[in-house]
Amino acid sequence: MNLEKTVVVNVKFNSSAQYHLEVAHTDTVQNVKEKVSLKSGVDSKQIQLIFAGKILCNETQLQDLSLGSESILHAFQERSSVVPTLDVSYTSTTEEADSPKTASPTTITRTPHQYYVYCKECNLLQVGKLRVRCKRCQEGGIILKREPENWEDVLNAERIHGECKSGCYGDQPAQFYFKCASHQGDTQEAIVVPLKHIRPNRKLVECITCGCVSTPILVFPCEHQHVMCLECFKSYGNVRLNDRAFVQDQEYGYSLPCPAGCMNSLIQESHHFCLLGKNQYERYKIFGAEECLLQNGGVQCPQPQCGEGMILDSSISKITCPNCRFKFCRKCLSEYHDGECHAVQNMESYPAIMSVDSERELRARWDAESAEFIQRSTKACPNCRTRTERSGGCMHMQCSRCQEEWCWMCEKSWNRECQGNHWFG
Amino acid sequence: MAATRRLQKELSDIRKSENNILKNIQVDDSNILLWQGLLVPENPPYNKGAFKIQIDFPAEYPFKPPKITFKTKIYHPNIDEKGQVCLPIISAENWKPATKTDQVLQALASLINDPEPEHPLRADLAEEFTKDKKKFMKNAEEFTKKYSEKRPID
Repeated sequence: MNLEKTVVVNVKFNSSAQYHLEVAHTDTVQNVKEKVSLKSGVDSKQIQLIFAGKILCNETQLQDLSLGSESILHAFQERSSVVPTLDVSYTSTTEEADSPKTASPTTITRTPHQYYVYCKECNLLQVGKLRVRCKRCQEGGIILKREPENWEDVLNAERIHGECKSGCYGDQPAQFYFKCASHQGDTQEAIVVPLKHIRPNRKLVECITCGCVSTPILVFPCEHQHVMCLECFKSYGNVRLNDRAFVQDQEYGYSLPCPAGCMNSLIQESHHFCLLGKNQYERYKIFGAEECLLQNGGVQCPQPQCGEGMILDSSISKITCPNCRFKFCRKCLSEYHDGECHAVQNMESYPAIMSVDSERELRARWDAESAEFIQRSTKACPNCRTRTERSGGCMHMQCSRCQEEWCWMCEKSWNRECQGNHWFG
Repeated sequence: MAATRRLQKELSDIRKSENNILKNIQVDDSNILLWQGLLVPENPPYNKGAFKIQIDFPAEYPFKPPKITFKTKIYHPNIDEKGQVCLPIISAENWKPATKTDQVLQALASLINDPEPEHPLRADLAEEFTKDKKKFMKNAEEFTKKYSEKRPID
């Protein structure tokens, strides 16, 4: 299809000169070497090209390298004629190494492994390109000692070394990074995050929730590697986020498990939740931070628009928010008061301190109606004071915030007495 | 929408299957989130009649569970006077999006056939069921004859 198409690539030669070359998709590496030879006067037999950590074979066609315009190739002069060349085919992490066995014969052909990234400039899920550079000089002229075999090789620094041909020379740690395929060349450095659970659906697996077959898909890291389509993942994430029903995990943070209820199935990288949409991702981050704070015994400032998080000694009952200076009682999370705290006291039962005409007092209330309505229609969790409205069902409540099980009648933790007698009031 | 896609598939699978728990399934073309059908229990005292049930699927289905209500009155410890049923498989804390409606219906059928007096919605009936089974059976059978629908002929 692209037989006639040409692109401009930049070839950095011996890390000093840079040539702009117009090349066709069908050009081979040998053709490029000849063009570099013409510009530099160096015999093309002594020129080697490096791309994505590998020395390229003369026969490789440029279209197999998924180059964009303004992509950079690194070239260097090699005087000795014995240069080890690695396998040409553009394979990468071998997580899918078993796929040719099961995939239909048509898909075995040289389709490059596809990575997916979240591009923060496009604000979209995009196809990503895996690239590598020398960690020290940040140049791409590095020949890898071995290819990455899994995500750990790619994501963890210094697991793979290479021989730098760009500036530092010799053995250097390699640094992998991703590029958004919809951004051209190396000039625009958009922030992209690899999404390791997103994959092309080469095996045509059905979505675990809606049964459709689509691509790309999300593969949960559970034993059975359950598959979910991205539309369902978005609904799943949004429904769970609106209920604050994510799981707070020591290792992976605020996350979601496989919906089939599998063990060890949490999404391991939080940027996957970017797929829920920009606003929801912001909420996700806030909820995650709050959850982490509460799990560690922290307190949040109860003032609307504040919500500052604090971790304080458990003996402190009068708290002053360092952000908005609001002083509040740790027990009832209301404005600080003298004397003992009656956390479940009703609004109406506060003692009248000053005598005001009772009718005037009623008229002069600012937003008291909604506060009273909340007071009337909801009850507070005995553990974290989060208010819950009971719309039906039994008396056995579970706090959506701290998971405390409590009794709507006693307003205390669910106990043996409640279990026996309070189910239905 | 995930709910529509999934329910269309489930509905056609259920209608195709031979051994169907729910008979005469009715779904309005304009609203696939609401199903109605007839439950035909196998065990006495409920095997003398059929019971109309309604399944309400939320818009967030399958990420939130469906609700089941009995439209026909039934004398059963696990179903209250409003027709509400407490089925663990569709409770908020147990629900799994991968659970199919077919599995839910199977769980419902087995609850109807074999009541669970340990987790009752009607304490009075549960007590009768455990303490005086004979009386319970007699009452339930009379109730079934009086209120239940006719069983459809296969």
